[in-house]
Amino acid sequence: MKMGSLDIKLSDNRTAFKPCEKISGRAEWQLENNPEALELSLFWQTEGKGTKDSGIAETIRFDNPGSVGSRIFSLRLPSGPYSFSGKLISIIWNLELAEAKGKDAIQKSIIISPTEKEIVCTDLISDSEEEGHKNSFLKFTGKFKFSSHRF
Amino acid sequence: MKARDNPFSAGRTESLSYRHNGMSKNGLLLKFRQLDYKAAIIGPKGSGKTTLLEELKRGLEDNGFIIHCVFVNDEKPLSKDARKNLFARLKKGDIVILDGADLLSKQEWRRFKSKIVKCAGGLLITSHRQDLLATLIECSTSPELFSELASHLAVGESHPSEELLNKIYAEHKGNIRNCFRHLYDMYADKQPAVNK
Repeated sequence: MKMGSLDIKLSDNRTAFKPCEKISGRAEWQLENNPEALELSLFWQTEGKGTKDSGIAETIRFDNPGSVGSRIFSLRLPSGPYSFSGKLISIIWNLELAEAKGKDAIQKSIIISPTEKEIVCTDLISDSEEEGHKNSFLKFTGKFKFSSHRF
Repeated sequence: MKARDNPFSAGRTESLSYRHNGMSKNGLLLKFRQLDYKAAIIGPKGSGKTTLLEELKRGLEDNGFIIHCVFVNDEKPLSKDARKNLFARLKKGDIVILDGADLLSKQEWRRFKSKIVKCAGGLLITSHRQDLLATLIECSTSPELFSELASHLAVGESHPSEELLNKIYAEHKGNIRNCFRHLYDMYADKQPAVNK
């Protein structure tokens, strides 16, 4: 691990999971400074034609982590929304390890889906149907806390 | 094409930095100081005003200023509560950034400006009109700028031809945001016309 780096290692190197599954891994860091805290966040974000949205599902805080260290973590994934890609919108889940008050951060994309594969609808449905899915998704995400997020 | 792979997705276009044509970021920050920290970024829709505003915001923060941001658009007017919250948080020396100042009514603008001048230190706005505050810079676009930005975003993808880009630029009257949306749709559908 290089100085000034952060890393997230998931158990068995898995990156695709079923909804509500428990996931575990190790957060590692080797920093030049001594941060007050590090935060591991599970969040979704949209990518596509419209304005980006994002929401945090869970955050684990590591207080006084020291400049070099690692912590094992586990968390329960939410029931949805599923990882999805259409022509208009993609829903992407990420784990992010970041300094609580700093600019250093690393992200790892994961898939959350019953099939453990991203649901792809680029050819199967029309734009208007996809718009309907997008609206349902936005209603669904109302269950989560929306917040501004570093990207 | 999946939305996440589209080179003209909002996430990618919003991450583009402002292309300075003339005055640099530091030059603009100096001019803002000379204008007593009250100035406007002027320009038509899709000319990079908000992108430049974000860049200057970071520059001001790096210089130790406390910045308060207010974003107004057609769908999200400035509410009474938002205004009240903002005014309650202001301290002398703070700078308020208002994106979309010309969407406030004349009366709203007069009240807003007088309150900010009284309670804070600075006001940096974007506007389509020139009559609100002294002009810091007038943003504009060109077919060459659009071509450069489109080529930058479409790295690794088939590049649209200059002829097509010029046509799109003219169709959207120089509004680069709308030009990107146009290209987004073309790439989403993977139209063979992209390369023609």
